[in-house]
Order: sequence, then structure tokens, then C-alpha cells
Amino acid sequence: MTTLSQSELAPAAQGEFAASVYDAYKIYGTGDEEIRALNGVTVGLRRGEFTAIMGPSGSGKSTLLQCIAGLDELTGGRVLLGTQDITNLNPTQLTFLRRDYVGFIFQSFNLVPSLTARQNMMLPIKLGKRTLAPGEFDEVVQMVGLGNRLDHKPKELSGGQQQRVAVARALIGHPPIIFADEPTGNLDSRSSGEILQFLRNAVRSRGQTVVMVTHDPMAAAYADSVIFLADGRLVDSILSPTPDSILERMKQFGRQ
Amino acid sequence: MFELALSSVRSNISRFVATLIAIATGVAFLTAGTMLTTSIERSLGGEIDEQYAGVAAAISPRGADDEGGFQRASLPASTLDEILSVEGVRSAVGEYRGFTKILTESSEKEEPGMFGPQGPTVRNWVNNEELNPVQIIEGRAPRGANEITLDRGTVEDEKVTVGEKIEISTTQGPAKVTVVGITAFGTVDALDASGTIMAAEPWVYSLSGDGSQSYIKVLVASEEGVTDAQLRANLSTALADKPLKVMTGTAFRTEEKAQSAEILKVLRPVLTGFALLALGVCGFVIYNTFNVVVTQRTRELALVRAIAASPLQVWSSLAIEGLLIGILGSILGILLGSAITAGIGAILTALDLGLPPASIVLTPYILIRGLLAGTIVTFLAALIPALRASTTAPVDAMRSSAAESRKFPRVRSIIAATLVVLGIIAMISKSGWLVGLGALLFFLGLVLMGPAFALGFATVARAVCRPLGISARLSAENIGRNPRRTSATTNALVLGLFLVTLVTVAGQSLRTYATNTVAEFSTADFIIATAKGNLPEGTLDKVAALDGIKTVARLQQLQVRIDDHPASISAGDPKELRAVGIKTSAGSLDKLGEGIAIDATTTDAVVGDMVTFTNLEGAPITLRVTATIEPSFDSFLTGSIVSKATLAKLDPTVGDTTALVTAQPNNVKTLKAELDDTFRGYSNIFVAEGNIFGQLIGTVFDFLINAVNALLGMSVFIALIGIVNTMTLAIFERRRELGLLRAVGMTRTEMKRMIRMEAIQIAILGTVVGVLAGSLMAFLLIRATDLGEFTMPWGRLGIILLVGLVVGLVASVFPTHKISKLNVLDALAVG
Repeated sequence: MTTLSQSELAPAAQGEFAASVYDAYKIYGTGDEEIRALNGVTVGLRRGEFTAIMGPSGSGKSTLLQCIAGLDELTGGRVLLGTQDITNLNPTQLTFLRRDYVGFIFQSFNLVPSLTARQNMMLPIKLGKRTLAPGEFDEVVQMVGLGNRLDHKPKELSGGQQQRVAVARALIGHPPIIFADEPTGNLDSRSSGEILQFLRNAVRSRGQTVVMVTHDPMAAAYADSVIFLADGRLVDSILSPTPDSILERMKQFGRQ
Repeated sequence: MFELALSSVRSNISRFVATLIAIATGVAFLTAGTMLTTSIERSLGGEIDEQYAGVAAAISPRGADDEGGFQRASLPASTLDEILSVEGVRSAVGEYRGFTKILTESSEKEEPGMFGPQGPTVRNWVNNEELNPVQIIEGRAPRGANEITLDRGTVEDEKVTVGEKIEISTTQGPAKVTVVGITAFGTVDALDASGTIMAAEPWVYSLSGDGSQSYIKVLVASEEGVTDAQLRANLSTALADKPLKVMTGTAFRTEEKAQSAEILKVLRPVLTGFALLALGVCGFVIYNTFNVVVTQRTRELALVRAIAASPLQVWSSLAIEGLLIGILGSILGILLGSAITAGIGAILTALDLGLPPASIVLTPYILIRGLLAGTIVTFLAALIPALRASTTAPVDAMRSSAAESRKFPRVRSIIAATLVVLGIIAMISKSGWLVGLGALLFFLGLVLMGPAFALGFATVARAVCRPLGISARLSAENIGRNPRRTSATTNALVLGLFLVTLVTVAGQSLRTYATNTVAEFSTADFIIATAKGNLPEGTLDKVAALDGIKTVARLQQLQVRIDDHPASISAGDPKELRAVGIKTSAGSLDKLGEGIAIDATTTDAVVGDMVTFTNLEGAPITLRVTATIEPSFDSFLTGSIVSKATLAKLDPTVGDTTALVTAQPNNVKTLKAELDDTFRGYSNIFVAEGNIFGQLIGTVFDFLINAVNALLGMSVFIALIGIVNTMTLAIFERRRELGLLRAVGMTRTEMKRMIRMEAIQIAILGTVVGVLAGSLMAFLLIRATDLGEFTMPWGRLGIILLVGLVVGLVASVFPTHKISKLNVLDALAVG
């Protein structure tokens, strides 16, 4: 169960979700030029699960991710990260929240060019002036297999290696929820597979929550569940997806 | 390609804002300077042409103009009669000038100016409408004793009205006089810089003078049909036996104009020099902007190249962009310059300095020069970035998202270091032109060394910033990120502060040297002298009776000429002279007899020679040299020394004209006030401290150092614009990275702090390099020229460093403001 109705907004239920949005609207422009990127979405993302968000271009999947992550503001509706309502937080409060509660992986340009791989990984920790649990750094480095590349600058790394650093940065310090926006969009299939496996391992062995936007059925198949958006609305969801079941569902949308 | 350039400028105009400001500032400075000098010159010149239109010829003592204030040569009244009888002369009038002071509380408090006490100029009222340069605008002309006219400016300053009595200083001491009229010089308030007081002859000679009628100039109007050249020839023939110079009316007016615009002679080249410097600093800023703009557009340019534009086409497109921006900036600069001129004009009018109103003058020369200067500088500064962009292969450009080379520029640094070392060696050599060349090489090397400095500085900054948190660390990383750009940004500041430091440090050392040198030559504590005539009877006895006076050496002085240059002969008591420090290097002052102790600075004659002077009427005086005086500041005042008997024979009317006074230790300060009081109200008497020359030189040096630094401040301002520019463009360039940092948890405050620290680090780098290089160069130059000891003015250096820091802080205001508006999603979305 990843979707829920208004009646399921009971506070007791909120603990189950790492993040949730209720009746979310995101509207650009007015009148004839009005575009509803999100048109009344209510969804809860379960703690300790790997969720993929899919949908055609313009369906609102990236907007949904950005609004949940506190990078963008909703026009209407509410966003909760864990049990905390972040809808009305100011930008600085959101920033502090992102530091400690959220990890990010973007499609490209994930790293600060002037910092080494190690420095990039540690960036959220340093910004939050936190200290890592003993062994945490080595554990993450080992997970993504970056051992001998730690002191290289991003431009000395391949695309796949850069993305591994990005994953490591998102995982380190154990943020409860990790957002990934097309993390494999720029990678070949082998590197893609590795990255997605790291994310799944993070969910399995570390109990972190991963939310990923993608348009690639192969990638989405690594997730525990897939939700589908179209025209700003939640239209469907699948549990334990396979590439075939996802493709099948996508074909149905195409016919509609 | 012109279309591409035009559309590019139009769509990227915001990126060029800083460039435009830089060019406009430089050109505005150039334009305002020229406009100001031209308009002052024009309005002064215009009045002189009009007011002295009736002058067909002018006669003045020869050699009077090149000796400035020290000349006392004059034309006796008898010469005026002779001139009146020359053929072709319809009328002739004598011009007399003297000094006075209006004795009111406010004007007495005024400190003497840099070049001596400043009071209104006294002139004789000229009873000849054609030859009188001033007009009565209220009241009437002065007729008898104790009647004066004041100029309009002075009337307004002193708030007096026609009919009022005021107290002024005269040769006989303070006197009450009646203001009977107000004068103006055409549209200008006064003929003289500090105001004009006019009185009728002969009383004017008692007001300021020794009572005898004499002129500094005679102005002549011609009879009808006589040309100026003819008149001049007639006068020259008639006055051939006298030491006089005859000029045509035109030559006279030209000379008057040159004198009234004397200040412009100094001002113009100085202003032009600094405007060119400002434009040079602009060059760095422009170069940098184009570099960044080109880097940002690498992909766009690569696309153009891939579509098969030739490198030449890309280059010319960018060069045309430079040209367009240059023209636009220059036009803005000329407009800005006009506005500045109008502003300065308004300030000058408000301050009422007696300067004619400065107005906007748009001559083709000013327009074309402003346009050309700004455009050429911009064009040249855009050339190299354009070349770099056009020679990049399309594939390379497409590949790299942001071209950043942080490699150590080895070849460049080796060349730069070689230049610096060669420069230093050349300056150590101490031989004239080599030192100049060395200075040039040194600076060139310094500029080329920029990227290496930037990288070195970044290493230090990284270490310093490590414990200061992540934003500090990132800011240090950014400094070393593109060393070339960092160095081009800092070089503008380096150039400005380098020169400020050089001027300050070298100037201070020279100042110390000059004042010390002068102090060695000066022995008397006070000098009392008259501008003309004798010191009033008994005043020196009063001086001698004052508490704390040690010696009063009385001198009788006669003005003579040697080789057509004014010189002095003095007589005095040898004991007194020795007591105030006059020494001979050969012979003795005691046994002068019929001979003369020669002032070695006036002639090369040695003991035993015969020297010939002429008195002011031209009669020769021949004397045998029996002694030579050791040059000192006091001997400069006394000139050559003869016995009292000899002087009495040469001119029986001469009394005590000058006194050299020494004081008991610790009495100098109080005595100055008492002496001033003794001579209060005497227009001709000048009381100065003995080291006045040293003080004067000190004042001149301070003034020069400060003035030059104020003008150099201009280049520091442009450098500031350059830092703002680079920072803003760098933010634009790195906005994805900044968006990422915000996304992973950097707050706005931390990001602003990062940008601010980056700006400050750039400023520190520029300041440190500029100050160090400036000090080193000053040290080398002082050493090379052997002009005294090198001294470090630490206080002033501290101020310069502070200025550098402030520049960094100010420069960060705009970029930090801009960064606070950065939208995380927009920044991340940039493809």
C-alpha cells in the first residue's frame, strides 16, 4: 500500500512513512497559461523501502520529488518528512533539514569540481558540522567501491565513478531518506546497474529510504514499488515490479 | 559576422555592465579633466582678450617673469614719461602691484598658503578707460588717500558695503580706509586670484610700497593707423638703452593668459597622466570580462565553429563585440565626464574660489579623444580572449563544460621571474636609463607572475582557511581554481596599490631627505624681510628687546642684476652675520673694504676676480671679489655681502630691509607669535621661521603625495569594479555548483560568507602583491638615485592595507546580494 486516501491521514499512520504529501498542487502561470504540474497528489513513501516514480515527460514526477525534498514549494497541500510538516518552513529551516535528513543524487553535475572525492562525500557532514559514527566512512566507501579513488578530483574520475561518489555522499551519515533524480540517466548499462544495486543495498542493509525518479523500466525494476504519474495525478502503482510488468503498465497508459 | 557580434552584445549586455562602467569611468576622467582645464582656460582667456583689448604694446623689466616672486625689478616713473613721447603712442599707463591684508578676525586667522601669505593684490587705479582692465560696478573710483575699491568677490566674502571703513595693513602699519567702490573684471569677480584692492596714485605707494612711484609694467595704446608691430619697433628703438622688454598687445595678452592659467600647466599633464593610468587599469578589467564571457560561451562559439565558421570569422566577431562595447562605453564616459564637469563647476562656484565657472565644453578634440581612447583600450583588451576562443578546436570546446586550467603556468612563470630579476639587477646598476628600463621590466614581470602568485596564495589560503569551516575552505579553493582569471582580477588592484605604495614610500623617503638637506642649510630661526622699501624705523630695536632673542643681524639690501638675472647685495655687521651662521669659504667678512664677498650661487667668480653688476636703472657696478660665502639658506637671502660704506655709496637711501634672527633655545614657538604681533598690519613685512623653506618643501611633498594618491584612488576604484565583475561572472558560471551546495545543505548565510571571503582573498592578494612590489621598487629606486635613506612609513602602509581590505569587502556586496537570490532548482536545471 503506497497510496492512501484523505481518511488515512491519521497521525498514527504517519510514522510508517519516511515522507508523504497530501493533496499536493503545483501550479505555474494563471488563466489560459495555467499549467498544473501537480494536480492533487496524495502519496506516502514507506520507511525502509525503495520507491520509483515513473511517468512520461511533463507528468510532474520531478516536481513531486523536488517538493517532497524541500527544494521547491507547493502551491497547495502539505508535505511531511517523517512526522515533521515541512510545508511552512522557511528556506533556512529547510536547508538545515536537508543537511541532516535528506541525501541527494542528481542526474549529472553532482560534485563540486574543486573538491576531491573524499571532500565531496563529506560535504553534508562538514556543512552540518556533524561527526560520523566510527566505521561509517569506511563502510560507505567499501559499499560503493571507491577505495583508491578518494583523493582524485571529479574531472579525474569517469562518469560512473563520479556517480558512485554522489551515491556515497547521499548515503553517508545515514540520512533517513535519499532522493535520486534520474541517477543513471547519463550512464552506460553496467554502471547503471552498479549504482542501482548500491541504492538497493542501502535500503536492505542500512534501512535507509530511497525515492528515485526515472523513465527507465530497467532501473525502476530495482525498486520495491513503482508509482506512476500522468498529467500531475497519481494514476497507478505496482508492488515488486519487474521490467516486463512496468513496460506492460506503460503501454496501457500509451493507449489511453 | 557583424550581425552575430551585434546580437551577441545585445543579448549579453548584462554581462558587459561592469566593463561598461570601467570604460566609462576611465573615459569620464579623461573627458572631465580636459573639459575642466579647457573651460577654465577659455573663460579666463576670454576675459583677458576683452578687458585688455585696448593694449597695443606692453613694456616690462627684462627677466622679470622667469624669476617669479623673487624679482623686485621695476620701471621708474620717469620711464613712463619717456614712453609717452615715443612716436605712435596715444596713451600709456603704468601698472603697479603690491600686497596687503584685510585685518578682520576671519582673514587674519587664515593660514598662509603653500606659496606664502595670501592677501588681496594691491593695484593702482588706472585713469584710462581704454587701458583699465576693471570696471566699477558700484560706487566710484578711488581718488585720494585712504580710499580703495574692492573686487566683487572680496566684498561678498568680507561682507562690506560701499562707504564702510575697513582696516587693512599698509607699509606704515594698520590703517583705516574707506571702500568707495566695487570692481569686477568683466564677468569674473576679480583680476587676481586672492582679490584686488585698488587705490589712486600716489597714495597706493604708501599703502604697499616704499612711497616711490614705480611700475611693474607699462601698457600702451596706439594712435590710429599705427600697427602693433610698428609701435613695438618704435618703443624698442627708443628704450634700447634700458633693461626693458617690449611686447606687442597680442604677446602681452598671451602672456597674461598663460599666467592666469598657470595652474593648468601643472594640472593638465597630471590629469591626463592619471586618466591614461585609469584606462590602463580598465584594460585589465575589460580583458578579464571578455575572457570570462568567452569561456562562458565556449559551447556557443564551438557550435558556430562546427557550422563551419572560420577561426578568423569567430575572432572578428568577438573583436567587433569589443569595438561595439568600447564605443558604447566611451559615449557613456563622455556623458559621465560632462556630468562630473558640471558637478565640479557647481562645487567651485559654491566654494567661491574666485575661479571662473567651469562649464561643459564639447570640442571635437575632446569628443574624438575620449571615443578613441576608450574604444582602443577595449578593443586591445578584447583581442587576446578573442584569439584564444577562435583557436580552440570545436570538439575541444564542446567537450569541456567549464574551461578551467589550474596547471602551474611554468613557462610563463619562468619568463616572469627572469623579467623581475633582470629588472632588479638593472635598478641596482644605478645607471640612468637602465634604472628606468629595470622598473619597466620589474612591473611587466610582476604582471606576468600573477597566476603563479594566485596559485601560491591559494595554497596558503587553503591552509589558513582549513580550520575556519567549509565555506572558508571552498572560498580558498576558488581562488586557485582559475589562476589566470584571479591574477587578471588582482592585477588591476596590484597596479593601483603598487603605484600608491611607490609614491607614498618613495615620496616619504624623498621628503625626509629633502627637508633634512634643507635644514642643514638653514641656521637663522626667523627671517624678517620687506617686499619693498625699508623696515619701519625702530621696529628691529623692538625685536631685539623681546625676551628670548639671541641675535638680530640687520641687513641693508640692494637689488641688482647679474647677467640680466635679479640678485641681491647686502651689507651688515660681520659679527652679527657670523652669529646667525653666515660663513665664508674663502676670505673674511671683516676685511671687505671696497671688495665684495660673493655668493657662490650667483657667479663663478673667485677671490681676486672683478665682478660687474648693474643696478635697476642699468648703471654698472664693478667690485673686486675678496671673499666667497658658503652657500646656505641664509646666504641665499643675503646674496653677496659688501661693507656698509660700499653699499651706502651704491644707494644712499637703503636702510634696514632684512633681519636674520636667532632665538634662545625653546623660545622659537612663543617668539613667532610675538614677532607676528610686532609686525601686525604692515603690508610689506614678511616674518618667517628660518626653516620655512624646509617646511615649505615638506608641505609641497605632502601635498604631492596626497594629491597623487587621491588620483590613484581612481584606479583602485576601477579595480574594485573589476573584482565585482569577476565575482559576479564566476557566480554565474558556477551556479550549478552553487545550486548543488545549497541542495546538499549549505545555507544562504554560509554561501554569502563563502563569496565574501573569496572577494576579500582576492583583495588581500592584490594588496599584498601591490604593497610588497611597491615597497621593493621604492627601495630600489631610492637606492639607485642615492637620494637619502629608505624609510618605511608603516602607518601609511597600514592604511593602504586597510584600503585593500575595504575594497574586498565593498566588492563582495553586490555578488553576495546576487547569490542570495539564487534559486536552487533553476541553478541545478542549467543544462
